Amino acid sequence: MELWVSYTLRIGVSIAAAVILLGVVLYVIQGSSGAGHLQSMDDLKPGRDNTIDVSWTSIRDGLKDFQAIAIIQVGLLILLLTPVTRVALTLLLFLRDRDRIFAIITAVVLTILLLGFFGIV
Amino acid sequence: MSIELFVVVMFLSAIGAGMLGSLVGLGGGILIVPILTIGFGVDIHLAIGASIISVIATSSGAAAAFVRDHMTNIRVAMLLELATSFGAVSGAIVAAWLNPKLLFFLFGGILLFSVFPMIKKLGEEIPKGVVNDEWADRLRLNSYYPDRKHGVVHYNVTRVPLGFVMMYVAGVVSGLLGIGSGALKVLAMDTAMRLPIKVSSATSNFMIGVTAAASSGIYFWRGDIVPEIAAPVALGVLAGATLGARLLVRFRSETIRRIFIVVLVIVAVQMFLKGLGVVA
Repeated sequence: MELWVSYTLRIGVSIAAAVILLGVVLYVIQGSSGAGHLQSMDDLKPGRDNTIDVSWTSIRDGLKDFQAIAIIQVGLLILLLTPVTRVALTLLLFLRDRDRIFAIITAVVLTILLLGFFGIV
Repeated sequence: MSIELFVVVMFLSAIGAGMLGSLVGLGGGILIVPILTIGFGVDIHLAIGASIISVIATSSGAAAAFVRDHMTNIRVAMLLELATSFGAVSGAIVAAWLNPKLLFFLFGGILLFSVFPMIKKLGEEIPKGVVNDEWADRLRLNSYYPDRKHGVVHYNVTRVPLGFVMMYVAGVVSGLLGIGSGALKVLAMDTAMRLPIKVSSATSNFMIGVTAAASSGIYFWRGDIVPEIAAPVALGVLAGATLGARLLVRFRSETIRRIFIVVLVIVAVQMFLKGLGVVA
């Protein structure tokens, strides 16, 4: 079981890295005409006038068109999900051992992480 | 500078930061925000967003190895993650409202703080005379680990409430500044809870990813994690950390550590100056 925890961490990060890399390659191919691509460094500086709207809908629509930005965002979400999965596995570990206090502690941590992941907090 | 060139240069810088970080045993995340803000003039809020998500990438690789080696105390980690994840969420929420100048200032302070454990080695390898406190007893936090030199080492855990509060602070700092705050985590486990140093560092590494994930979601949906920054940073730091871990076997040099200390101090001064508004 501890090995599982170890594997989740490695596999999750590898998948995330691969998806992000795919997004970067597409980003370069689509060039500055790609949807949602920033046009200049000024968009990253303090006092920039653009705000980036991120939502599940924007990511889903972007994925339909193979937009590089959406693919990178999915990669980043997979990266974010890696520790979440790890905590979920740890919860199973404590449930298996009938360790009530630690199952509850882990469930609370998992809830905080999921609220963040789904954008509820 | 065009965005494309920025992405390439940032990727290369992140490799450097990740490599240096793993060579001296810091996450490497600590250099990302200064590189982005001082080096490229990026808004500090966006720099923090990119940094925090890259912290997940580097910590996960290291954590995997430590879990396998049974160095990590998973019960201690889970209990303290309760504190760090609440802290990280508070930090991430507060960060949005804070004046960038204050963020620069705090970051400078944290940089200086991380230098101390590098000058004076923290902690005893195996602390003596530690007795479980009431909490450690009730939660069965004491454990053991295999050691090549000392055989199986059994250890106790003390001052759990103090460690818990310190961990909340570590979480706030992580969520606020986009770093793993490993130095603070080790400090809490080492000085307050008196865990063996190997267990402290392994458990800290294990916790960093969860702490970072707790605030990353907030940054992500707020639009502070810009793909153009986060992608090269995450991939670069990950590649750099992997390379660094390989190199570590070949040259674990005092020189690198000294260079890094100097770099950290210089960067800290620059962050302070930015916080004061002396440097634009």
